[in-house]
Amino acid sequence: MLERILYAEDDADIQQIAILALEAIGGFTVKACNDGLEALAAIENFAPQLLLLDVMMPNMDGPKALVEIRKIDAFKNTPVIFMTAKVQEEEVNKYLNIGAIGVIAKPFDPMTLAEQIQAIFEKNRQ
Amino acid sequence: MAKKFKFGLQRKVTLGLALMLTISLLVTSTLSYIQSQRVAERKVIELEETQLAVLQHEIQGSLQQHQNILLSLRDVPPIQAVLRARLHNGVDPESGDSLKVWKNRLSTTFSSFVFNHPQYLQIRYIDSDGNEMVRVQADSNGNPEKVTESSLQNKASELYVKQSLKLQHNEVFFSNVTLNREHGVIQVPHQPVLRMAAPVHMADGQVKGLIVINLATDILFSDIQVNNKGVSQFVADEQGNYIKHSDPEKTFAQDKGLNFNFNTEYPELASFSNDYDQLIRRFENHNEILGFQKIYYAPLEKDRYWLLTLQVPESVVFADIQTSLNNMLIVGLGIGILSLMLVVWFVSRRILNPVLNLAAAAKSLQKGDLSIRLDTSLVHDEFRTLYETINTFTIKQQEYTCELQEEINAQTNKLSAIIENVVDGIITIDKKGTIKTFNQAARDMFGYQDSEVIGFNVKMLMPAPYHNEHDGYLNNHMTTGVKKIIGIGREVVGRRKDGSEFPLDLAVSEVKMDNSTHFIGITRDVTERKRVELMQKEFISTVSHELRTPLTSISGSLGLILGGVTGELPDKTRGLLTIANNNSERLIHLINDILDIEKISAGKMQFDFAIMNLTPLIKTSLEENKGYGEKLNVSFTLVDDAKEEINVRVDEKRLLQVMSNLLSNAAKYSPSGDQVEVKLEQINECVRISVHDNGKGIPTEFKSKIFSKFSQADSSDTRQKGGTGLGLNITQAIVLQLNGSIAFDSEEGRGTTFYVDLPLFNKKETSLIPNLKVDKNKPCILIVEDDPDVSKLLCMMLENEGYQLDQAYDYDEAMHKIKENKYDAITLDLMIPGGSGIGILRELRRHEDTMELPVIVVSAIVNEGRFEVEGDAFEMIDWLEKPINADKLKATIQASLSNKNNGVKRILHVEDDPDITTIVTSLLGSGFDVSNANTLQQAKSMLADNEFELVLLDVGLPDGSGLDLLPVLHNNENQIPVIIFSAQDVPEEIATQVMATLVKSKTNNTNLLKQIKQVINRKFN
Repeated sequence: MLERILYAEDDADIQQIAILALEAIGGFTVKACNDGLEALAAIENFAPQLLLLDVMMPNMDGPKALVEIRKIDAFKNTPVIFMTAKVQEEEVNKYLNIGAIGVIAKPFDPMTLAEQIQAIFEKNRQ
Repeated sequence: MAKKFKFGLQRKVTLGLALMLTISLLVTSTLSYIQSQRVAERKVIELEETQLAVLQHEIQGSLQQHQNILLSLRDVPPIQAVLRARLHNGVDPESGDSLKVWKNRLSTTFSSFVFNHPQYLQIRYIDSDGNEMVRVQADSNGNPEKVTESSLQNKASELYVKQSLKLQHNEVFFSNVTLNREHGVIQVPHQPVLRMAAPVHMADGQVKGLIVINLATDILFSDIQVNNKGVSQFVADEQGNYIKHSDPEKTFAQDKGLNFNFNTEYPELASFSNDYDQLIRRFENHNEILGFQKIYYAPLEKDRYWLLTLQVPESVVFADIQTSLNNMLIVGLGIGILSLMLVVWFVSRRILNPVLNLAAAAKSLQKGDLSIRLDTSLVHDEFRTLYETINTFTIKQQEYTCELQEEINAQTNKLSAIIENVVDGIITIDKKGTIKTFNQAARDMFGYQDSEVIGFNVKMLMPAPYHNEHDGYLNNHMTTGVKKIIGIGREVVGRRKDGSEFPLDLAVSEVKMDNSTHFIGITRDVTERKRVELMQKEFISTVSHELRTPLTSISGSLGLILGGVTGELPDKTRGLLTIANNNSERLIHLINDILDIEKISAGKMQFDFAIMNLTPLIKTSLEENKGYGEKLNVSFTLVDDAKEEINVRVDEKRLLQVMSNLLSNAAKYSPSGDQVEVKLEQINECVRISVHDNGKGIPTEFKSKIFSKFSQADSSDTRQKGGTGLGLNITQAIVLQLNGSIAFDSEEGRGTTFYVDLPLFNKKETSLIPNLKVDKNKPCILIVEDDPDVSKLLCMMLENEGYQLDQAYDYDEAMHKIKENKYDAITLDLMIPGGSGIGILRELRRHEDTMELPVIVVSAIVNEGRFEVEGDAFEMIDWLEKPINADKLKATIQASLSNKNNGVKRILHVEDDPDITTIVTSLLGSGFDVSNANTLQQAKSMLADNEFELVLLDVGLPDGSGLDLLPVLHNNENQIPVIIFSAQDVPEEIATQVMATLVKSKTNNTNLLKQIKQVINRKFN
């Protein structure tokens, strides 16, 4: 059962909307960070079941954060979903190749965001 | 390099003259040699004649002298006194001295003669009864010795006694020359003796005895030179006995009982001696000059003579003239060479040199050297005219050439100025890749100077891996004509002198220059263009990202608000927020569409083709767009007219995009509450997807623009209906990429239908199962290839070869068809959807039925594939690289089919155990025709009458060893392979003669079957 999501997003507006969509609609517990470094710092304490990462972020971008998180034994298998506006075909392929289980395009539909994440998470679990 | 040696004119003349001179010299000297020979011969003959005559004269003279001495001895007073004393009882009445005294006196006289003439061996007085009265002989020291009375002998029986008693006064008898004998015994040392005897007459004429002188002939013949510088003289008597000869054996051979005789040794000379006293002539068959001179030594008897014979070998005769001839030749040749030099010098100076100069000039002219001038002062007459003409010609020609050269130079300069100043790099290479020219733009582009590149291989301008591949490519092009760049042009990577790499556009054309192939490469540095392209791409990507980010917030907020997260909204607020939300969605679509348009126009939209069942795909699209339709209160219905499964080869995502565009368009333009009908139908080789709405239709004037960018029926519609106006443009582009077509049918007021036609890939339709039964004789080939164009191409290549062809487009289809049908060969692409070609290969080899099915791998990744199956040792595989060469494909398939064992294999099983034959026969099953032979004899006769492809041989047979069959089999012209299948091991030397040896107890059925199949296949491969 998916409950704890660690979310990294540098745009405060989007972050606010997404948290609302995930918590209010999806009922998840979300820990939000502003970049990859913060996510990396928070991960051990929060122990998320899933990571939702923006791609373009200051300090440490999403893909880099994924690579770093994979180095931590406890989280080397934690599923990662990218939520980004950079969704050209080759870009999406790149994310999947480095180990993401799914990509959600921005702009996202906040009403169905939780559903989408739940669906990707379930599909990956199978 | 074999260069043919050519004689120049001067050499020819010199050699000719030398040859003529040598021949004439040889002829002259030969003639004079023959002449000299004759002269020499004549001279020798004359000389020898003279010598012989002199000898004869000397010998006869000396005989005459001895005869005179003999006669004077006969007349010495003591003779008559002895006669008188004997008549008068021992006392000479005239002197009163006794017989004894007179005998003494006589012997004293004889002694003085013996003393004075060393050649006198004896002087005797013999009476008429043959009694020796007085005898004086020379002792071993040549001193006279008076023989005592008691030692005197009677010689009455001797021929010389008898004969001389018959003679007249003053006549002398000459005996034959014989070796001296005493009492009939030849005395040693041998002493040739001539006896001269003269009768002694009384005053009354009565014969009263004889005087005999024994003459040693050595001294008589002392002037005869038995051997002098090869010239030999000898003497034979009238019987042919040699009485003086260089060879002691031959001398008095008769006396010694030996058989040497002049008449038998020189029969020609002997016969001449019958008729001639003297003769000298050349006997060519003896290679010598022979001659004789008769010496009549007994003046009273004309048939008694000595033959003084002469023998001169030709080598001696002609020795002198040989030397003189040699001298003559040397001198002659010397003179000849001297005169030859004179002649050559003269001919050269006056005739040859001018001609040679002309020839040299002509050669220079031929080479195009017009600077040649002939010196007219060296020649006269016609040569001078000729020289002057040539000089005039060359001067004029040189002037023309200069003008022409200037013209050419001017043109060349213009041309090279153009080439040098062209913005593109122009590089020419020869067929080996050596750089011939390199213009300024190329120098700037690559950073090399002319001297650093011209003459070097063009691959220096390429980075790896092109660098290493280029030689092979060029070579391949020259031999096969395969073009990779020529006439096409493409983007490649170049390497500058500093090692940096840069992208460049390369166009290559092939030209024939100076009878050989050259290539002209035109290069353009596209670094800048690529940079701009990249920037553009990044720009679009960045812009789209930057636009999306705020849109995310806007649409997210609106979505949440409208979704009721913030609580209930007043209707007015909701209406306005809905407008805002719709337009933010429109903006998102617009951005997506712009990105698609950009990709399509750049040709960068990727398509992942796969063969799909269309119906579920359309159902999915309806499902996906259902929500959109519901918003507009429009529903979608599907009418599936297709009777069977419809398969198409498409990119799933793109087809869904097409459907989404068509469905949303149809929904947009449908009246609220209406239905949009989607229909699938099969039309010939296509499937048609139609999307029909009952909207107001497309205005006629707009129909032509409907697929253009940013087109909508009118601007007011745009606002009303939403959408970007890019959708149909994108849809059309995608459909074309899916090898389909899009069209529409619309009537104002009655709605619009869009049709998308896609090529059908219906498996059942293309299956050959029924066809296979129709024509069993044609080999059937399965083409496994996912690209329909390539598949079609392969079919076209093979259609006319009399094959039945079947196609499979993915892994499952291929495996299915192989299972259902019987193919004679398959062609296999390695990259196919649903699995890999290698997987098919492994699967085929795993199953007994398809273990030997010939496979021709036709792929762009042949080498990777080969690497992958390396070690698996699959048989019956050929590898063909794409692009496919039609002839090679045909040949490979042909070869595979002929390799494949045709029909039933005949096997002879020589085995006496019926259980084993039954097992083997059932093990082999159909496909093998097994004949059994129970005995050696039966096997032999079966082999003689039938043809077999394999013999399975037992060793222990009732009538002998199976191994005895091996020689018979090896002598068979078909060389039938043999597998020994026996209860015991066979010796090593036998094992090497057969394909395999199997021991019954150690071999299981699978192993046996495997061995048999391997041997048979090897034979057919």
